[in-house]
Amino acid sequence: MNTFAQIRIALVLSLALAYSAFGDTPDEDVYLAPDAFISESFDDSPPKPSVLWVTNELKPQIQKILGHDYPALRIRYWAQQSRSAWILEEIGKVKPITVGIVVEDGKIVRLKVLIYRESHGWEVKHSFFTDQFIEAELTEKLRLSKNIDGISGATLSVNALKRLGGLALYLHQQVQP
Amino acid sequence: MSKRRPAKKRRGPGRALLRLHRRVGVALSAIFIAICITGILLNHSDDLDFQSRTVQADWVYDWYGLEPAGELLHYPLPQNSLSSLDGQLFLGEKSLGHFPAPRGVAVLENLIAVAFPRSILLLTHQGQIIETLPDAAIPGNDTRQIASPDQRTLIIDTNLGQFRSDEAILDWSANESAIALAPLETSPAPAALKAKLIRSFRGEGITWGRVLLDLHTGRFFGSAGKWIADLSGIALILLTLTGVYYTMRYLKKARERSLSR
Repeated sequence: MNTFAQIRIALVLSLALAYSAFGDTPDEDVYLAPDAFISESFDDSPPKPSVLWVTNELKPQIQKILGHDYPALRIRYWAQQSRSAWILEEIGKVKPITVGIVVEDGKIVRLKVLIYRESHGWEVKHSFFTDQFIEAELTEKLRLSKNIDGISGATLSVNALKRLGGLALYLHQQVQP
Repeated sequence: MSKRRPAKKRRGPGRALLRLHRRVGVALSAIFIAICITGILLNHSDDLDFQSRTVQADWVYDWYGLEPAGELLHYPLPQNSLSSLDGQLFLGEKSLGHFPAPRGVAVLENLIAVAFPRSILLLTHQGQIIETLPDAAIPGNDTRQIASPDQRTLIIDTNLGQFRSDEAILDWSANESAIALAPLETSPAPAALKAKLIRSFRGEGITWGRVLLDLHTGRFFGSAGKWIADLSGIALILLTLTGVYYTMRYLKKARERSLSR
C-alpha cells in the first residue's frame, strides 16, 4: 500500500470517528425516585398529597423568584405538621432538573437533585453542594438567606437550584403561614 | 575493474521532501478546495443571503440532530388533537414542552390527562398545563394505560393493578372491580399538521451560513472534523513554505545553467 492510499484511509477513518462523535445525547439520570424521596422525607409514612393553586396573587412573587411564570396552574405538595415536601422542576440550560425539597419551620431541611437531564452541570447532585441549602430561609426580598457557592461549569444548574430553593420556601409560607 | 559512481552532491532536504510535498498536496487537495470554496461563499454570505435562507434538505437536519426520531403519535380529541413527536408534545400545533411518548390520553369534562410511564400531565382543553403529576403522586411505577369512562375521574392500569382517582385527581384508590379500559386510539396525523409539527420541532431551522461556516471550520464533522481542518491549515502553511523553497531552488539552478552556457 503506497503512502497516498494510507493518507486517504487515515482521512476516511478520521471522518468516520467525527461522525460517531457527533450528536451525542445524554440520557436522563435518576438519582432518587421522587416517590422514594417523599417516603424518606416522612419516615416512610408520607401524608396524602395536597395542591396549591397558583392564583393571581401568587403569580408576581413566583415570577420574581423564578424569573418567569410557573408553567402550571397548581403545585402538588405533601405536608405534615410544620413540614412540607415539594417536587419541583426548573430548566438548567435546556432540560428540566427535578429537585425534591423539604421545608420545615420556614427553613430548608433537605434538598436533593432527583432527576438530571442536561449533559453538563451534573455536579449539583453532590451533597457538598446541596447541603449548602440546609437552614436557608427566605428573605423579605424573596432571596435565600444563605450564600450558595457556585460550581464552575455548572452555573446554570446552580442558579436553577437556587431559584427552586427560594420557590419551595415561598410556597411553604403559603401553605403554612 | 568497475568504475565507481561519483558521489551525489547533497543539497538541502532533496527529493524525499519533494515527494512528501507532492503526496500531501494531492491527498489534502479536496479539503483545501472545500475550505477555499466555503470561504469564498462565506465572504459573500450577505450578498447571497446565506444568513437568512434556511436549508430544506432533511438529511442536514438529521445530521444536526434536528430531524425527529421515531414515529408521530397522534390522538384525535373532540375539539383538537394531541401529538407526540420525538419527545415534544403538541396540542393542535401548540408545543406543550418536552415529554416522553404518551402511554395513553383521556378526555375529561374540564381537562385532558396524558399518561406517561412515570408521570401524568393534566391540561385544560385550551392547552394550559394544570399540573404534571410526578411518580410520587401516582400508584405503581409504570403507568400502562389511562381512561376516563365517566369523564370525571381517571382510571389507570399500572404494574400494581388498576387505580381510580378522585375528582380532584389528588388521591388514588385501588379499583377492586377492574374493568377493561377503552383507551383513546391513535390515528395518522393529517399531512398539513405533520408538516407544521416537524417545522415547529426544528424551530427556526438551520441557515446556509451556519452550514457553510461549519463546513469551513470542520465542525460539520464534529470535534475530529475541527482538528482535521486545523491540521489541513498547518499542512497548507508547510506546503507553501516547501513550495517557495523548491521554486527558489529551481530558479537558482536555472540562473546557474543560463550563466554556464
